[in-house]
Amino acid sequence: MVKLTSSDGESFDVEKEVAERSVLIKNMIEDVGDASTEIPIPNVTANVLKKVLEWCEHHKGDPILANEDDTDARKKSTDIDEWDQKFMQVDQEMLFEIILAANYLDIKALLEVGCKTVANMIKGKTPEEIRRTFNIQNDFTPEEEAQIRRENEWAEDR
Amino acid sequence: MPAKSPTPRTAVNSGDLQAPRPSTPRRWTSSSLPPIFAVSPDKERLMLPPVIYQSILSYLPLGQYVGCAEVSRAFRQIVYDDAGWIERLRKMKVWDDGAAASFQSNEKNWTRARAIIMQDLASKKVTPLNVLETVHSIPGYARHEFARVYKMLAPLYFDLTRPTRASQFEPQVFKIYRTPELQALAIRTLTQFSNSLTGDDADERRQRLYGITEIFENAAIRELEAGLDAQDYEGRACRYAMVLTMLNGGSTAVQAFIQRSKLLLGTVTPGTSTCFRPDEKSAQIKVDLEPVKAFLRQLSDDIFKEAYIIRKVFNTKNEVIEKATLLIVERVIEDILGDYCVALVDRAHEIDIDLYLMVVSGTYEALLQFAYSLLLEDPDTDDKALRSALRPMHLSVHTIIDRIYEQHIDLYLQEELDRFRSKCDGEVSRFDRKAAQQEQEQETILRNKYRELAAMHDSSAAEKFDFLTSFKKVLFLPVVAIGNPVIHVSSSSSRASSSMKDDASDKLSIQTGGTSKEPLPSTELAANAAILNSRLASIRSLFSLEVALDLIQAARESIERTALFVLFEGQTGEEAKEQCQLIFSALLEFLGFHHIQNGFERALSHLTEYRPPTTTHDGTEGERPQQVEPLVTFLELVNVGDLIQQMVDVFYEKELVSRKFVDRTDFLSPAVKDKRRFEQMLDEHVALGLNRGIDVLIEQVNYFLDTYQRPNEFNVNNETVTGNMMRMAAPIIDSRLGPTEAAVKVVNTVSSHTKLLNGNTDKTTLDVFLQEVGLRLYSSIGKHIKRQTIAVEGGAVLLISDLNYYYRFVETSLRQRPLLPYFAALREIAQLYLIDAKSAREIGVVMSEIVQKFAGIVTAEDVLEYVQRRADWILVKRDVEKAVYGLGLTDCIVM
Repeated sequence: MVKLTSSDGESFDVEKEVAERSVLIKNMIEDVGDASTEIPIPNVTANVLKKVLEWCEHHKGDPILANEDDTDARKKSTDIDEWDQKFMQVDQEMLFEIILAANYLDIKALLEVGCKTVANMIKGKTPEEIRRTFNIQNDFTPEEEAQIRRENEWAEDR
Repeated sequence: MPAKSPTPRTAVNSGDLQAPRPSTPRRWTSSSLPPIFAVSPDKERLMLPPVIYQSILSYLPLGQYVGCAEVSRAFRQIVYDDAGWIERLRKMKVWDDGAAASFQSNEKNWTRARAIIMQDLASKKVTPLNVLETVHSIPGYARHEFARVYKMLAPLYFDLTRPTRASQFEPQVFKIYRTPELQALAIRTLTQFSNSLTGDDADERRQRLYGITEIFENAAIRELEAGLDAQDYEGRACRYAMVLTMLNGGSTAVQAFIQRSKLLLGTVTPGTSTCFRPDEKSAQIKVDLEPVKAFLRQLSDDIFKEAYIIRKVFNTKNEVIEKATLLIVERVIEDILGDYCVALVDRAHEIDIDLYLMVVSGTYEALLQFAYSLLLEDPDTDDKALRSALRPMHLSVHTIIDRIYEQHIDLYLQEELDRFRSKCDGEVSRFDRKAAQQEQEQETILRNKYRELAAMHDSSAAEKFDFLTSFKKVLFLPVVAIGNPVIHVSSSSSRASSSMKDDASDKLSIQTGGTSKEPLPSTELAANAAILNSRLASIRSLFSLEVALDLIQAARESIERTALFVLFEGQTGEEAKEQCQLIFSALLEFLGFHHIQNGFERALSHLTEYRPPTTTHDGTEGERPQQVEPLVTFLELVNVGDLIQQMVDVFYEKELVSRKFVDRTDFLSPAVKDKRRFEQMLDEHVALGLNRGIDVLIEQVNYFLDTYQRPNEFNVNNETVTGNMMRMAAPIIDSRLGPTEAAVKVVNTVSSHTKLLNGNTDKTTLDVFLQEVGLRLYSSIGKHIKRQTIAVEGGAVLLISDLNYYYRFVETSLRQRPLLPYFAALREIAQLYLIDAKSAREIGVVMSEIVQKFAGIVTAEDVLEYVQRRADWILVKRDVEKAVYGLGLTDCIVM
């Protein structure tokens, strides 16, 4: 068992196999050489860490995605498996935090699921719809907008 | 990591993703988290690392990806960022990191280079077929370059991969490009392009493109095959080979070519039975690899012919030609030769192990030669392409050959060692049995020969040298396992050297039997061996040079065969090297520790058990032979041991060290260790034998002294001697020149035995031996004198001539400087008997002189004992003692 401590001081006892979904934690355990030491996770709060560990628990048996070679295969689709879809049904703030934590903890597969979830939220929307979805201010002048459109005419869908 | 400091701003209701309500903005509280696309306080950048946004957006189809630039400045920054576009260009394999880096290094160069490139593009006619070649890797310019490519290729691509297509409508791309060459190029370009596209339908479109490519490819392959079948190599076949090469680099074309290759389809191996034929005379099975070699020669020619065709068909690109050629060679070796050789090897294994060993190494060598023959310059078929294809690939050809033999190599190495060991064992124990038999039969016959031996021995060093020289010569002849038909003799005892290369093989037939049936030797080695052999008759029952030669020859064959496999890559090669060492160790074990050691030990036990005959069988006083037989035998053996050691040394240098199978300085290597052990064993036995030999020799000396020194020989003036004796002794006394018979016999026996060692034994060993012999001889003579009675008249002179004789012998024959004082002392002692009784006081003076002069050699007590042997001692005793005391030599008195 590995003991992880969140930034707000809450401790989690986790199976080593689960914790090692995070490459960061895996490397730390290897460096320390003793799995029984407490590992502080200073950048992740308890509620996010709990969520992340829930994901790790569910995916503990998965093969670890090693490197860039796999990305081609994954990029081809934005499909997300059902469990992950349900898991990702959280508010935007939590989604943000999960992506942030996955990035920090170096959990490639979780980061990917997060990115795909966001991509799916964008997909098929007009720029205006995107702004509305994510509460983004349009900081362009109408002239600027027109220029961007001209610049990007070449890529219009056929 | 962006700070989580909450920026007061509007945000959507957090739990409301499905139905966003942008119209009702909500203030952030300090406790709430920022949304995904929140911007930093300065509103210039987003809160998460750019890579993450890049990754999010990369899931979008290209159109929307680009469209996202309109969302906000922060979005535009992500979309316009070089990274995403460089990634896409990379996927098309048109981005060159090296070129890009060179631009970054120098800003001035960068602007100028861009200007040059723009100019370059303006001067070129860019078409969909060459657009990919015009892409430049300029940082900050990736999006522009991608757009240029996209504009050219996207229309064709999306038209070609349209989901539903009425079959009558031909895709635009095939309308524009009518020839198969251009179509191949277009398909290839579009395939490259398709890899850069993302989005949900990108995959489906790619699949459709693959489908179209396949159809096109198959059509082209059919054309190529038709061209090959019609032998229209330079026309149709060549054209479609080129189309296929343009389509995908040529690998399918090469595959198609190989599948149609007449060489691969039509070649028939000669079969295994031709190589194994029973010999008419002996009904033994012979292996003859000549059919294999002939077949390989034919195959080599065929490959050159095939290579010629390949060059015609694939005349576009050299690398394709090389690839096709190499593939053909690989397939020939792997499919045809590999199976054939394995079949040969298996068949041989069924028949006999010796045969198996020969066939494994023989075929392996033949294959290597075959592969190498393709590389050799040959004026007749000057096929440069084939050679240039093979030269860099020689290693890979070698690897293929190795792969074929991999399954056999372990078994082979083991069998080779086992076979060698059992062969050695057989030879050695057969010899032992025969020797035991002969020992009794020949003892009497051989004894007579001993006498001749010593006389002949002076030239032995020269003969040994001749023998070694021819041995070296033979050793340096190449052994070629597939040289000529190798006769397999199942019960072979005389086969040992039969597979020596060519001429040597049949001539050098040293047999392990007696000399009676030995054919006239026609080679130098055989001749020299025969000469040496006749000399070594005395030790035939102990040791055989033929056996040694046989074993060394067999070891050499085994090592030569095994050495082929040292070329194997990695572990196996190392094992083969090790095996060579093991064979050498086995050679030492059988040759040294069984054969030679046995001989030495038997000789030693003979020496130890030796009791000189004091009388002959009929009870009368017999002539005792000059020679101590077991010692002669033993010394001969030392001789031969030395020879063998030199042979082993030559063998070791030639077979192991010069080939780097063994590192001379590696003290852990078993070969080095065993060699040292072998030499030690020889040295120890020689030392032991010499030790024992000295005892035996001195015993002989004592015997001669006792037997042949007639009683009162030195006391002829004594009146007690009978008249008869006087008369008998008279001629000897009269001569007054020569030494006594006893002295002559002693010198002869010592001389003849020590001569045997000259030049054959280590100098220091020899010195130690001779000095010991000398010292023991000295004390024997001393004791002998002390048993005699010596008269001043006559006897003393005789004794002096004896002692002079000994001295000369030691000085000229033994040549051991440290011994001289001893024998000089004896000479001086003789003076004691020469001085007339009247000058008895003189005797005392001489005595003290001797003690002074030879301090440490002769003691005063010794001198006193010697002087007491004077025949007139009673008469001179008083005067002498007075002289001795008078001179104050109190320490001279015995107790």
